[in-house]
Amino acid sequence: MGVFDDKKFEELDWISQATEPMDSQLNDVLSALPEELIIDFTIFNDLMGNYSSYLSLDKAISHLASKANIEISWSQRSAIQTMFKFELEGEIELNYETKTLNGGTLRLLKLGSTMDEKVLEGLLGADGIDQISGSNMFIEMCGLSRANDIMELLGGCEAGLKTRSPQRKRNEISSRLKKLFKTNEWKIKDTELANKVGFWIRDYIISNDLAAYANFCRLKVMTHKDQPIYSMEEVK
Amino acid sequence: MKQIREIIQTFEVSRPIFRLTIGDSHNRIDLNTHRPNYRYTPREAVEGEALYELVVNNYSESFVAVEGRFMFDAHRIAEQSMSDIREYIARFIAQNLAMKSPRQSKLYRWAHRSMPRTEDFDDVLVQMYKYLRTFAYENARTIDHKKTENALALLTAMENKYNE
Repeated sequence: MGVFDDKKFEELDWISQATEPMDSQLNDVLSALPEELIIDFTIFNDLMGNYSSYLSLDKAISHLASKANIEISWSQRSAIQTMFKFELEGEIELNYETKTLNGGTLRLLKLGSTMDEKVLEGLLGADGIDQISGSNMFIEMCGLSRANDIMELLGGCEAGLKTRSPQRKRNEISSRLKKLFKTNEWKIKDTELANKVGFWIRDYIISNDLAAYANFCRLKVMTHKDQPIYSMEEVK
Repeated sequence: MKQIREIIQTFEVSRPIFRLTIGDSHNRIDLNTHRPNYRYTPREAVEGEALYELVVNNYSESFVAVEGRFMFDAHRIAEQSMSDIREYIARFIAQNLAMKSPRQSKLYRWAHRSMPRTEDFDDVLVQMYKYLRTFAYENARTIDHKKTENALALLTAMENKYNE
């Protein structure tokens, strides 16, 4: 087994290899959540909270995940929301005197068991890019040459290579990554792997983490095969 | 303020029963607390109930989710009503004092800024307001000159008494 082999891709059936679907842990999270939640007075009142006058999908999904003992981050919840909706049957009355919900049924419904591809494509690299923006990544003078190393591998960062400003270099890397993931130039098909790119870049530039740099380089090499990338053997 | 508080004690609140509605994108459920199914409104004032009408205009309730019921702030309604009365009396003086610049008068300036703020004086002002409203409109304009002169004389006497 070579270091540039994509184990996950090789294990896919021929149809998946041909159609190249997006993969994400979110699909596992989604399939673990129940198909339906019937909302009664207690659930509604508890989830709405003391300072709101409506129940949001975000709070309902948090409750669903908590009941299923699943931890979801804010960005995962935000993505998963697209796969749920509220359904209201009848003319429902919420009565705080009797603490009941009458006149119909209020449900939270799951719309499918796999995430929409378009939603997953929108998530590509997002968490990693956040690590490079603003105050998350302050490049000291000793990190400038490492930032240049990254920009050379990314390509298309001529303006960043010419400048000596740490902020401009950071912004150039961030813009380049956004552009790269928008069109998915590198054909990364796993959202978790895509998110790691930003973390590797940050760790190498800020902390001179050579393992992170090695991983970034490996991934870049794999892109030369011009095949979809589902996984990569990482250096620890 | 005793009479104002007595009026406030007759107020009730809406029942906390709401119709749920779903947002356009099916991503939220609204409780519609501003539109309860059984909304309470204070009865309308009849002729001659100027004080009641003033207090009712300051009535408002809000739904307190942690309590699960509607509530109103009696103290705020009382204070606001009293403030409206003070403002009315100052406006009455400004509209009806026979001077070129009534707002420059000692009487107006006293009414506008320096009237005592005690429970007893508040009761006096409430009585004065009720009297004024027997012949003055809501905008403080009047057509009864005799009663207007009488009222201004009363206010001047009050100013002299309470400014000692």
